[in-house]
Amino acid sequence: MEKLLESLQTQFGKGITACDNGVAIDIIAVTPDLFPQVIRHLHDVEKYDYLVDIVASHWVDENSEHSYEVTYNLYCVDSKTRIFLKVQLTTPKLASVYHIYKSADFMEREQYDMVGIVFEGHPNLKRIYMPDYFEGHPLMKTYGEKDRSWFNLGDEMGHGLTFTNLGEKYVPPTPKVKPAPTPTESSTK
Amino acid sequence: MGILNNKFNPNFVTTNVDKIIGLSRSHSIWPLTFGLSCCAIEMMSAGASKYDLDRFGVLFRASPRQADLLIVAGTVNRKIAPIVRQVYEQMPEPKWVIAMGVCATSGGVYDSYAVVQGVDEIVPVDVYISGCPPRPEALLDGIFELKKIIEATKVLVK
Repeated sequence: MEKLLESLQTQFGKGITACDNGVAIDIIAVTPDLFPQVIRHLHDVEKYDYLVDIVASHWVDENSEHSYEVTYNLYCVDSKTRIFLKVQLTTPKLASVYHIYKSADFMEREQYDMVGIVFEGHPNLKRIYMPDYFEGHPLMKTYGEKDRSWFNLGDEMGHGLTFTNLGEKYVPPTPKVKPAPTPTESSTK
Repeated sequence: MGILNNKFNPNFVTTNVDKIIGLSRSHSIWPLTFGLSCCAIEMMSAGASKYDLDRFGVLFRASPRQADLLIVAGTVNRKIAPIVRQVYEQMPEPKWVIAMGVCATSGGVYDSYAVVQGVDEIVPVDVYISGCPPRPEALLDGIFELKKIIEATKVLVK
């Protein structure tokens, strides 16, 4: 891992950092602009030829600032080593790796469907789990976890089902108000 | 029975038609082989040798056209809901539904964006079984409750 990190850093510069999270797995963080070259290099030169999984996450803080993170789980069948490649994003856009790993096809569609990451260059980026009439991305923090209001929007098999228990929509948290500065002793005197 | 004594052949029983129909129906409940999640494992266990549903005339059928009973065993998602309804509508009358486990009854812990909160939103339910998942004994108890319902149903004169 150290050797790999060093060789990546000498080739790609400061955009490559190691993530030490106290867990015994190897995580490499990369900036979004370097990401396509780095994953191409890992596939072609370092022989990480098996893309096991793609995981995306979404956060929103109390100031309604969105942030995204996409993690690639890469495995080298020859050396039996595994690394995780992390990309931090502020907008949900990232280059597709479909033309490097064919297995990214469904994985990228899944993460697009659930979290809303748009993988640019994917040949067929459409929903894979949710029906086409669904609006939004259910695993975004801004989607209500109990929001079942979409249940009655479609009628796939024409049974005319109507659902009554439709949960509750997402309510954005009220922004935290900074506490008024407490008067110090010098000002009260 | 005094005046009827020795008027008929042996092995002759008098009863009413509702009773004999109820008796026949309740002793040949054929449920559909249809499992949705972990409750289906308990349902299989109830059908296997230790609990042996066959001894009550409960035989699992692989086609909804041969089944009388739909055991909704597991979580019903929005995506499977129209299919559950389709299967129910393919079953011939008379038909009954058991909501097995807390997910089919009310959604259970899955108060989420994708789970139907109780299968009674899409099909009429006769018996609800609690538990997560219910033990095979609980399923047997639910089937006995259903037997009582079937035997009490009046068929010819409502």
